Amino acid sequence: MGSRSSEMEESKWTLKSDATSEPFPYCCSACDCSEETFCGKGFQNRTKARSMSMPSAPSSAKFRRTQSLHGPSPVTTFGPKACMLRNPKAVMHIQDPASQRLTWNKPPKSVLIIKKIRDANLLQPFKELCIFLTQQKNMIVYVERKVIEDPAIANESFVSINNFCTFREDYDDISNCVDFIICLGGDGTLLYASSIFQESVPPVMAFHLGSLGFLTPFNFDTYQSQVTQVIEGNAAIILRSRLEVKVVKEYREKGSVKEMSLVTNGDKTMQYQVLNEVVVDRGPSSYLSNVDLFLDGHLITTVQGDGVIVSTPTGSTAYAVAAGASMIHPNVPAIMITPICPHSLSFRPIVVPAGVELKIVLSHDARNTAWVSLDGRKRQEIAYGDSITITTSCFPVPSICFRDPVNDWFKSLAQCLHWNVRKKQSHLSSEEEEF
Amino acid sequence: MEDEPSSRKTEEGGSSKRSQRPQDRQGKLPRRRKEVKRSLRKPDCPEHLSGGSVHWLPEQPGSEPSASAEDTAESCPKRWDRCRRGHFLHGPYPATHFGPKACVLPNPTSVMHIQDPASQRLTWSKPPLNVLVIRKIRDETLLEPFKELCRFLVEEKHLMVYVEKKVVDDGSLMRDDSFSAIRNQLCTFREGYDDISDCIDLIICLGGDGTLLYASSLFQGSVPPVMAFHLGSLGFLTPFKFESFRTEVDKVFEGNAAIILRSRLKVKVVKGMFQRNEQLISAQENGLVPHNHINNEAGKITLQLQVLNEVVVDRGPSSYLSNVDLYLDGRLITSVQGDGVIVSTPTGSTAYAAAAGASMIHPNVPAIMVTPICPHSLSFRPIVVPAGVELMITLSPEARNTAWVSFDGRKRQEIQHGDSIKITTSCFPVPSICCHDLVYDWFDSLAQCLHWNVRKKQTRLTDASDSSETEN
Repeated sequence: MGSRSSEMEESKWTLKSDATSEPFPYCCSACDCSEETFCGKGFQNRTKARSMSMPSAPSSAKFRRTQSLHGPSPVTTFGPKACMLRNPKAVMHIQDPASQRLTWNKPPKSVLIIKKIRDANLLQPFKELCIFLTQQKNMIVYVERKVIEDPAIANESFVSINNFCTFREDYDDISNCVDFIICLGGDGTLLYASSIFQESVPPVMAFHLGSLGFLTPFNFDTYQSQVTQVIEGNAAIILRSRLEVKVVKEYREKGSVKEMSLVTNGDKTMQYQVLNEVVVDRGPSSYLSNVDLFLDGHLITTVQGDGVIVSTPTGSTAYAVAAGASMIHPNVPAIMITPICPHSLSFRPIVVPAGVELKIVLSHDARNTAWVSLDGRKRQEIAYGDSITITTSCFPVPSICFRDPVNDWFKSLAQCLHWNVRKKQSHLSSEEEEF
Repeated sequence: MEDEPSSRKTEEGGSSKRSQRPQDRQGKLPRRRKEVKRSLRKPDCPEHLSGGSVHWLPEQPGSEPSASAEDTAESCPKRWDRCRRGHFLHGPYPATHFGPKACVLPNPTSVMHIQDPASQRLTWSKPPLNVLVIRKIRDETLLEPFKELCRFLVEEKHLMVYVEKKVVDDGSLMRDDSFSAIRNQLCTFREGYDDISDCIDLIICLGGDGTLLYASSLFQGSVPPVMAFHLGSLGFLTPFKFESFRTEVDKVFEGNAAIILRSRLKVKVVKGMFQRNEQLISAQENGLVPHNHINNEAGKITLQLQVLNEVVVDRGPSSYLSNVDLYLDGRLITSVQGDGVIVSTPTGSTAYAAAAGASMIHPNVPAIMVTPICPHSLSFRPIVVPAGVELMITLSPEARNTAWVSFDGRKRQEIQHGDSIKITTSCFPVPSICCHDLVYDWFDSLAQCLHWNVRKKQTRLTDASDSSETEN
């Protein structure tokens, strides 16, 4: 058989054409398809979502995905006589995450720029970007007031252009005014974007200026063509799931009213969406934190130690990885539970399905209160009778991909965390062969 | 049964009963007031995704709203969270409108329709007639239960019972005269010779997680439903207690049992197809690549198997580090230098992978886990990737030795330069019948089998004073 040379990106391999592997289609549960027969139900072999920003990459050389990133639809007949009972009321429709693309109902007009403050390297790129967006793209640019008030740019002429809008964090609600978001300079900017939009989040395009970040896949050097592509509606997106967190503080006669909480039934509840994780820890106390963890109403364990982290797949490479968790790709629908310094020899982190409901309360035997923080912010104390309820939110953060969700993630694993980067063992040079 | 892997196994259990939601729900929460009035953005009903009608659970009057319900949304996607379980197990439908103007491009051809795992039930298109009984051999304690079960199935349920020949040729069984009548009515098959994959309607496993792995190995395509009993302690894959086998088997025959579809990996070993040009010559010169391999057998699939737990690639009998390259969707993602690497299903995440330091994944999470075994690296953390990727493992060109691969602990073989192992998620899962709660039972077996986070609990302070006073 002839060999077809195809240059695969970042690799110098020659892959002979595999005459024996047939493309197998997406299996739909409606048909009893074996993996060898072709199920002609309208699913086709398709290439990976085209990335907008790789003009030089020939799409024919890219890997041909033959099934959904979610996995194949399982065959629902089991042996000759058994099959799955059809329950039309509980059918899920899952769009293949690998083929999710952005589209605009109307052309975008307003863009929010989030820039890390107190970083001098970002001032010049920020200015360039603002000028590009307002003058060349005729967009309305929103920035947080503190960004504009930075003395280094405060008296620049470009600040007084008409298309500039400012808002004040925690005072003004811009959640319906912004069509998309550009983040400059670091993963924290994305967390900030997530915190501003507590419901639907506009698409986010995140640039790194120094080294590649986990959440910042775009290199600022080519921002003009990249941004243009996005405005034209040519982008692959990954929906980064968030957790919806409710902190319920039991009614107490003493105790101050939290400014962001509302009083219902005497209890105060705070609801928040987190992109990375919810951390429950021992706060300033030196005692072990002692919290009970419930899943769908069942007590599954008690965490004794410094605390526990409940994170999204996005957050699995943040605090959770420092606490020893495995790293989960953002397209896996899951919630990760990781203990922080547990006083136990057997507390391995676990990964649970995204659709469960978790609840954390102080254990009956706890010697002290616990503290909760949400994406590192909104820190508050948790006492007896208070509870934290966590589920997956239906409002993900749609992050625009540089190439595609799979490639981007592995690239950042290697570059940000130096995942498994080490000096490679060299080849044996002598003739002596290993037995 | 011959070859019983001794690795630790996983478990899932469940039943048709669903857990009730805790009754501490709040009412609808008003939104925080802001200076600028905002119109509330609702997630859209993803009808455009399905290209057809979308089915929702009817709103149940009087039931508590779920904690995560966006109660302000009046569109239909939120109705289903009024049911006993608040979400589909894979999570809520994500809102597909992002901000006022953007949304996901509808792409009906890439939408999958699957039953919510939490609501999966078994049904029989015809009543089952042929049952395969798998019993761990060389375990004396299982003889009596096995005889009782066979008697029940043959005499009371009038079924055709299949057993492997070794199981029935057991010395003590042959000597039992009272069993000989039953014994003569059993159908036997010889593993490796007779193919029973189309003859079996139901599988019953007795005594240990390995019996389920054995069942999985017999059925390389569609697997009949499996009911697994434990006799001693609870296993990961054996949720049923043998004492009540009669009622449990009757319930299964009625249909409507809850099942969990344990995903398997489809693994192919392809000989001599993969080569790296500039290294091939030197590898050949070093005698590590037999010349005839490349020419005669290139591209041949020598083995294709379904695995329920994991595929292990390791250094075999060699003392050198194994040195394999790992590709995901065609892209080289890393090289594993060390004792080897494990690619496992969520079911297998509590088996060998747990011993290698991986986190434990619930069987309902659609994922594949990649775990290194004693990697010679300070930074090789296990990773969890989506279930739909294709992985490929090959020997690194610089590898000093060959590698060895094994599938659920069996069919061990050598991997040479140019060979590749391709791994994806199979569309033939193992349907395991659940005993109690589909989701929650896994935690029960984590605690009982692995003593997950079981330790002596720190006692409460007996001092009646407030905790804040003890802080100084």
